[in-house]
Amino acid sequence: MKSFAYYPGCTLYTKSRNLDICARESAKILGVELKELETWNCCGAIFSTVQDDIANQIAPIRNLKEAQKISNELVTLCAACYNVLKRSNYYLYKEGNEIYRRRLINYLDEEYDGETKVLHFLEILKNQIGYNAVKSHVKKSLNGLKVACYYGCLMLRPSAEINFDDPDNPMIMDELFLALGADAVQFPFKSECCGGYVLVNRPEVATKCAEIILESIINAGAECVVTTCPLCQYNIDNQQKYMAKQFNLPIFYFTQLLGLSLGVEEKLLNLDNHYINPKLLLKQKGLII
Amino acid sequence: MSIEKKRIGVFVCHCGINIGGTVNVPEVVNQLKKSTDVIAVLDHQYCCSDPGQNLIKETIKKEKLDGVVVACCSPTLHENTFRKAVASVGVNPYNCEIANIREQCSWVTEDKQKATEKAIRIIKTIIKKVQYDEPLQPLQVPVTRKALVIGAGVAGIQAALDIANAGYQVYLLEKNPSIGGHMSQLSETFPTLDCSQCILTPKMVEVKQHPNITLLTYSEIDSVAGYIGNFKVKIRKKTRYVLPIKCNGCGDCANVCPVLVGNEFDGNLSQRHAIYRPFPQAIPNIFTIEKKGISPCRNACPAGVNAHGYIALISAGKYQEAIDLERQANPFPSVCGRVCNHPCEGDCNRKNVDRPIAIASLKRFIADYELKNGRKLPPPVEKVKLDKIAIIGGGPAGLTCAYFLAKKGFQVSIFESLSELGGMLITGIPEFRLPRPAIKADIEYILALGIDVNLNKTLGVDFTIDDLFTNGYKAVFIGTGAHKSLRLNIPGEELPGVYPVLQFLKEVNLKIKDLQPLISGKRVVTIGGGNAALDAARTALRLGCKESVILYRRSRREMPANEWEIEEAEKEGVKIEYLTAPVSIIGDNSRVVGIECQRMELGLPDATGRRTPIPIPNSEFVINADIVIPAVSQAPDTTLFPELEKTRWGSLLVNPDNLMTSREGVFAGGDVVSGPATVIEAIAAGKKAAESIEMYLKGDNQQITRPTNREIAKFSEKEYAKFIKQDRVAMPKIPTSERVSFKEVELGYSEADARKEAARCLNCSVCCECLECVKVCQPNAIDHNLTDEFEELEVGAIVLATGYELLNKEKLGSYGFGKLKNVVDGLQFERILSASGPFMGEVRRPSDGKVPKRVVFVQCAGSRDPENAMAYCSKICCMYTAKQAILYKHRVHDGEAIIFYIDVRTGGKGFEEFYKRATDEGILYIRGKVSKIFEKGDKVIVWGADTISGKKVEVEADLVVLATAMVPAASKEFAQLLKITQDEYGWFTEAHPKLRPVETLAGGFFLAGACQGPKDIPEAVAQSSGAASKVIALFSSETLEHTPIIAGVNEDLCSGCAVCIDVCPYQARELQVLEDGKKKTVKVIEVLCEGCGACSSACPVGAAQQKNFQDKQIQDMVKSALEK
Repeated sequence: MKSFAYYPGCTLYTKSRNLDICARESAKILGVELKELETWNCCGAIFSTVQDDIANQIAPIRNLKEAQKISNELVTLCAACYNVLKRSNYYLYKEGNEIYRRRLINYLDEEYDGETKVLHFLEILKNQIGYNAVKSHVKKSLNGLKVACYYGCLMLRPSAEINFDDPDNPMIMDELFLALGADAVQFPFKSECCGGYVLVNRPEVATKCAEIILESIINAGAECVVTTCPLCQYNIDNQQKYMAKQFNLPIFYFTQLLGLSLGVEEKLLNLDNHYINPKLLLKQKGLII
Repeated sequence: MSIEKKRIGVFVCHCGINIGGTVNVPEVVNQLKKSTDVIAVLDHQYCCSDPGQNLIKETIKKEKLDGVVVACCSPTLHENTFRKAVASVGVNPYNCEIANIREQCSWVTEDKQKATEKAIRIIKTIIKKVQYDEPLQPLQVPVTRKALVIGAGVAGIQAALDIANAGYQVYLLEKNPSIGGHMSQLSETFPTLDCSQCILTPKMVEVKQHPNITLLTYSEIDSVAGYIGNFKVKIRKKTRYVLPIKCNGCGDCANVCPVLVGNEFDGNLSQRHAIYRPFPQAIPNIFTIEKKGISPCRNACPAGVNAHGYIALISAGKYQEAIDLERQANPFPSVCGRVCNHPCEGDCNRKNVDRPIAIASLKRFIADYELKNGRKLPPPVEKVKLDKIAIIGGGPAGLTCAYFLAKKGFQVSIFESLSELGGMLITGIPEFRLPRPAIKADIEYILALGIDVNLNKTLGVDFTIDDLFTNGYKAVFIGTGAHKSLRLNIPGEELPGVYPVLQFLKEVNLKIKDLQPLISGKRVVTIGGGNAALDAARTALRLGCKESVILYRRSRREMPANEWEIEEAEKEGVKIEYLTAPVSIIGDNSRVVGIECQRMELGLPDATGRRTPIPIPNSEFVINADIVIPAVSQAPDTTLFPELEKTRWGSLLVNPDNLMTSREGVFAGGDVVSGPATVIEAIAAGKKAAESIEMYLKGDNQQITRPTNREIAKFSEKEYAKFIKQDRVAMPKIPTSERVSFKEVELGYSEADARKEAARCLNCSVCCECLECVKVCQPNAIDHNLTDEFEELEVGAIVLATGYELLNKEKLGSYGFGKLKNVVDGLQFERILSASGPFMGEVRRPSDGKVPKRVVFVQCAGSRDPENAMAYCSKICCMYTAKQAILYKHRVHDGEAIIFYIDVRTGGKGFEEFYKRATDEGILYIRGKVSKIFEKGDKVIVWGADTISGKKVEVEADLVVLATAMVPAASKEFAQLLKITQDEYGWFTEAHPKLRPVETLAGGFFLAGACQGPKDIPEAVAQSSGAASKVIALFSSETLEHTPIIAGVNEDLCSGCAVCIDVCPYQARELQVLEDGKKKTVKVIEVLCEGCGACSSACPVGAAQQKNFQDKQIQDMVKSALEK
């Protein structure tokens, strides 16, 4: 069984338990181990592009260093953690950043060599396990379920640094859901901003952003949305409260539907932790009883 | 090597402060004066000035110098100046050398001390070189005074005309079928709004009529050899499959061509035929057939049926032509349309988009259509050949062989043991899959050719092969099939109630016995996994059995029966027990009561690639059965011909090349040779045997020449992604409730169904070779067997005018990847505006043909965008967008035109005024970039910024026009072929960006038009005339000087090892035998040598020496450079 160092991050321990648990359970079924870091701290939450903001970069780098006790491949699930950890590593070893690197490393307990590779769980599924192998483990096919795969911004941009998938037309999640038997609906706002960042100070803007995305998803004929980002999930799920139009679209983490399809127990999917109740749809599709 | 010491003078240049500011020139002069190698050392502020040159000349005269070193700038700048100066006072110019103390010394450091030291070292090194320099004379090379212009857009046309008008021969090469380039696609030109075609076509006609211009259209460069003045260019003249001298351009061929593909001249906004002429004013006015190898369906068919051809003809509504084409390869359209296992569909490229074309169902349609609409049988073929041929066995193989031989005029007789023709088609295949009238229809057609039929004649009983030969038959074909059911070889097989599958099917199909009472209400178990097993199980259901079960020892994946037959059987209620094998048949005294079975599991794959079933121990169980039908396999009954050799499987042994058996003149094919196989394979064998027999009777016993392998047409992943998904038209079937009789299950396509299904064809190979065009071409200009031709040209100069393309919209992700139908690029909009365009000059949008009421133009789409596409400005877009917006407003008076721009650049005569006109006409300019374009309903939404008001803008448009970046049309491979340098984007690099813009660094190559960088029409034309004048200047003298600094060979040292011949990139060396007739040495072909020095470094004995770069010289120079 191949093991990866696993960094859950704060949100996956609080609001987004389902994102975390379903991933761990699915990994077990697929024959890989997500080994959580022995100690970890905040990822940094937002990547700071201010070059002398050393303090802000120490947090992610410490996590990257800690991962090496387990593996040089560090897996994350939260889109924000993925963005911050991957970019911190990139900046540290970018050509021309030698002075910055030296200064930053002075603040660490131990030297860090930049060798930790930050991977998203989707990359493990696609490149290391392979979608064909995932398909062979499917217990309940998602056949007939129309899914809109929504990626948001953090997984994709800035594309030169993140280098995850095509920022204008990402397909990595769509391909996964095709493998699980679902119909991956195409719509133009896969990587448009969900508005989550201004949720607190300009909630009306956040609602509007989410509304535009959901409208396009509904028009494309989808029955539910899957995402990788806790901020997106919360925003486009919860903001449906304040929208004039009732979309009633359930918003899943991709790991929930992955888990469901691989045969993870229903109670572990944590289907109650949603504003829009997803159970109706899943019952209607015969995926849960 | 000792030579007389030269009298060398050194002249050190200050170059103002360029050298003098860093290098201490007086110090250099002082140091050099100490050297015993020099006679005179002088310095001057500007040696290249007249006084400077005079100083050099005077000193030479005074000091009687015979060697000169000028320490100054790079030799690329003034070497020529100084060499000419010294030559004017009698010094050989090749004994004057430059010591570069500017670019390689003063400019690269600020350290004066070190710069001075380095300058001295450089100069001393060059002094050593001059010491050994030989006096040389330039070589005189003849010039071929003919030019080649590559690319016949407006730039190439202009260059060709200018050179031709000066009296020289020009070859004008164009890769497309017509000259004219992009300018012929434009509607009007800015800023004058002249009609583009109206001003271009006179020039095109002039080219065609010019006595000095040879047009080479639809041609490509294959290779280029030689050097300035003496190029040898090999041209590939791609075949048009149309003879240019015969074609009169009438267009009858295109009218009958059933294939439609995207018309690239209209930016794929319209369609054209496989045989086409890009536009009516095309020059030359010749049609061209586009072919891309062979379509996979046609390639997959064992009988070589041209499926692509008949599908295309169906899509054009030419059903009779379609079935005639089908019968050229297969006389069984009605049968194969129903029961063929259609390998063609398995290979159909459409499977990469959605599902393959329903090729067999389409074939059935044309067969049914012909019958329904009063088929006319062909008249008997005149028996032009005297030879009689006997066919034994009236199944598909025998009938096909008879059909093709009868068509050739042979006298053919069929001998069939049953009272009906058809073989396995009538005995083995049940009526609900293949009704008798469908078989009869095909056989009737075959027999109409005039074939003698002898029924109830069994070989070995009624006649022998010897009898046939005695009775004057010259050749015999055996197609007796495989009608023997194989046994299970398990206990109980002799019990009453066990029915071998072929016996069962034959009795039902030929209505020999009424089996209904026997089967009705019984439990029928069929053993096997082939089509015969399924046919038996489904037949049993129709005879009213209680239950129909199939036992198969492997899993469904391994089942040899056709997938679709398995599905139908299951739908009808057949139960299939997989991984189950019979052990014995259990009887109750007089009849079958059950089968003892064993469960199996799958082991490793066997020779056929299927996994071998392995019994699971102690898994035995019994299932009840009243009737058991073993259907494991069939074999030919070869006891009929004891004298012929057999294979170890008991089938007939034939020569695979011509299907002849071990007996001379006796051929065989179909199941009797192959064992149980498909109908189409039997047909293929019959057809091949007919060809072989014809060859044999001609006395030509050679192998039959099969058509050479053609490349199988396919598309790239990206191209597949672009096709719109459209599922295949479902075959109408009778409901399962009605499947109690033997009524045919599949009902066949209606005409509308067939047209719709045929239109799904991707036309993989473009031309389908239905040959309809050949039939209508009155001048007989079309020949589908033509091949590319090659021609070698000798020219003295080459003008590159390969032009530009537009950046592919697929590269612009945020603008919809080129997937949005109503987002077009600039050239597509030109076509929309053009009177000869897809909408005849009316502005309409591609998706639904509606007139767009609001059009958004996006400038800098891919230009000035270093992150995503091109960093440069494409230069023409500001103006053509203004023009397009104006023209749009002229056509659609209530239309609204909005232009997003970064800057509006109007540098050019009349350009600013034209832009003003655009704004005056009410065109809205918004300053800002567009971030995203997407579809919403039937509108295109454009998100952008207005940077003047600082607001985000959302525009709901009907049509969006992207002014996509200009990119070079010439590929990297093309540039490498010609050895021309390109910049990072692929534009050809000029020799000097300011002073030599139409030349390249490769001698003899000149640049015209947009291949050098984005430019508009007047600029391209001006540059072309510039390039032409360079060519004319080159041709103005009969010879050219070629540098004498080339390689030589010391014949005393040369051992003739020929290592240098392999390394020479210019083919300038060859082996020669010396006069004594023994020793071989290498000879240099001086005009070809470019003096690169590769041979010198490769030569193991030092025999290859470069003139004025001899080993001795270089050793001394290195020594001097390293001196402490």
